[in-house]
Amino acid sequence: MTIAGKVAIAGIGQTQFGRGLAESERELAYMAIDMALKDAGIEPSEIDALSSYTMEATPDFEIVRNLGLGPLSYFSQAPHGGGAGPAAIGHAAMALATGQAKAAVVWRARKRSAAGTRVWAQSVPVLNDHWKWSRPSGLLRPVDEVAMIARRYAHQYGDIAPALAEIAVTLRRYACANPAATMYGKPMDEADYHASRMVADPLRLFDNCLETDGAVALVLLPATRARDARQPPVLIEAFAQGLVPGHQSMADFHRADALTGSSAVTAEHLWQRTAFTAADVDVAQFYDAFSPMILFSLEAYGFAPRGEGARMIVEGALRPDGALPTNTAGGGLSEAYLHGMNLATEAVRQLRGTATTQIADARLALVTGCDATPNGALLLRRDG
Amino acid sequence: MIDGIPLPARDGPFEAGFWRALERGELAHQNCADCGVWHFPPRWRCHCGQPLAYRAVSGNARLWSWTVIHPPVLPAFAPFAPYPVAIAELAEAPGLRMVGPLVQTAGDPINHVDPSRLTIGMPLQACIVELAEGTPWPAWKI
Ligand SMILES: [Zn+2]
Repeated sequence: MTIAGKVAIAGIGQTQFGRGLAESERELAYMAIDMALKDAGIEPSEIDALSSYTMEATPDFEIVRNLGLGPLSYFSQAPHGGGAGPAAIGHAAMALATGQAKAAVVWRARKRSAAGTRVWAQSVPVLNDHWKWSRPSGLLRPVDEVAMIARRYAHQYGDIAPALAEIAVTLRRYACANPAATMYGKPMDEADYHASRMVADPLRLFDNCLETDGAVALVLLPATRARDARQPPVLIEAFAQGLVPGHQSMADFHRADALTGSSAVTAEHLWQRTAFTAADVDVAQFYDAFSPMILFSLEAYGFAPRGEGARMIVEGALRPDGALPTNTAGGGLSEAYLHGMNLATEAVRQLRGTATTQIADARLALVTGCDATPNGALLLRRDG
Repeated sequence: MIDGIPLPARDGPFEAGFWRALERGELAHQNCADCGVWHFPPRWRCHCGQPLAYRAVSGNARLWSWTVIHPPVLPAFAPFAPYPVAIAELAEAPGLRMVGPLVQTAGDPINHVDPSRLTIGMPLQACIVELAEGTPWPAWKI
């Protein structure tokens, strides 16, 4: 049994993205969901399924109560922070494909623009989870953990600094074409990138995602129903999750081959579930809390052999006219950091033909979750 | 030794032998008597299904990777930033790795080692230090 082509993303909505927004995180969630429902042309009372992240702060019953949804017959949360996005959508899609529900909302809202709201900055005095093995030594932040893997990768496969600069500059260029992006109107070139301060050597400030206030929502419908809805349906071709044995979220240093992570497992599962291959993908939305994740994901999903992703990036692959236009609204680095949910909405816009940097005749889009956690991926395609 | 750092809970499952060894000034990890595989962080049993026992390791390691951490950091670490942090791969097995501070001599502050002296693959030697009062941990001597 497969869910291929049975479920469509029929509506998308998003609030303003930025810093210091006046609305509460909950209100942002309600606003984005309301816009997604209107985009799809679906009444709130028709929604009987909700899906989000375990890290989402607004309870599902508040979403139902404030928006007038329901009654619900399915509600779900996907774990692992930035690894959760494709799964939050995929779980809702499985519920619709199996008839457990008829219409679903998936959302993510965050208010992260204030410095004190960083997850790592809220460290508890005594660590009970797996971070007890690394944080007391001063390896504190997600960027520190990714820097460790990035340096090891560069040791094995060669300098990645030019590729990381190309990633940051390319995504900023996409953001500068996207009026909704936080970094719209703030161009950045390679010299700016290299001049940015070091955060966790070899990673600089512009290798880090933004911290954003905002919310994004999607409405999912069975494909048959979506064809009668307001927007051209974007079909879910395949969904997969992956967790490599021995993995620990983010601080994933204890496997013999620590450079082959959960993304490789997810990719294997994803490509098993579709007749499409990596070569068929027109546009990619790789989860990018940190720039090296794009390099690692590019290789894990089969767009470049291990060790050759940096060269592909430097050759311009991620650009609008490149082999694999990537994070075409600016991504987490330059549009907004909403745990990757804005990558899914950008994939939908590309397949509808309404993106701010539209890739000509985009028919197939890949959306991935965080390379450094247990994760997931979605392959989306234009109907017909 | 730094006051106010996040401390590792030491009452977690399967790790009593790890902390007892550190308190004696030794580094020990779980080892499978059946298949010989080493494990860290601590776990219930070997993936071959057999029980695990703590055995002392040599303390010999190589630098697997490292980073230099610049502000902003937690307040306890702020006076030391920028400072390097290492991942040491122990001589006993590929993948048997630990995160820890780098020192030249036991007792050095965490920012003592100049990162320009670091190269991946360089030999390291474990020396048990106190990360905070009463929290023993291997630092890695270059
Ligand atoms: Zn065994």
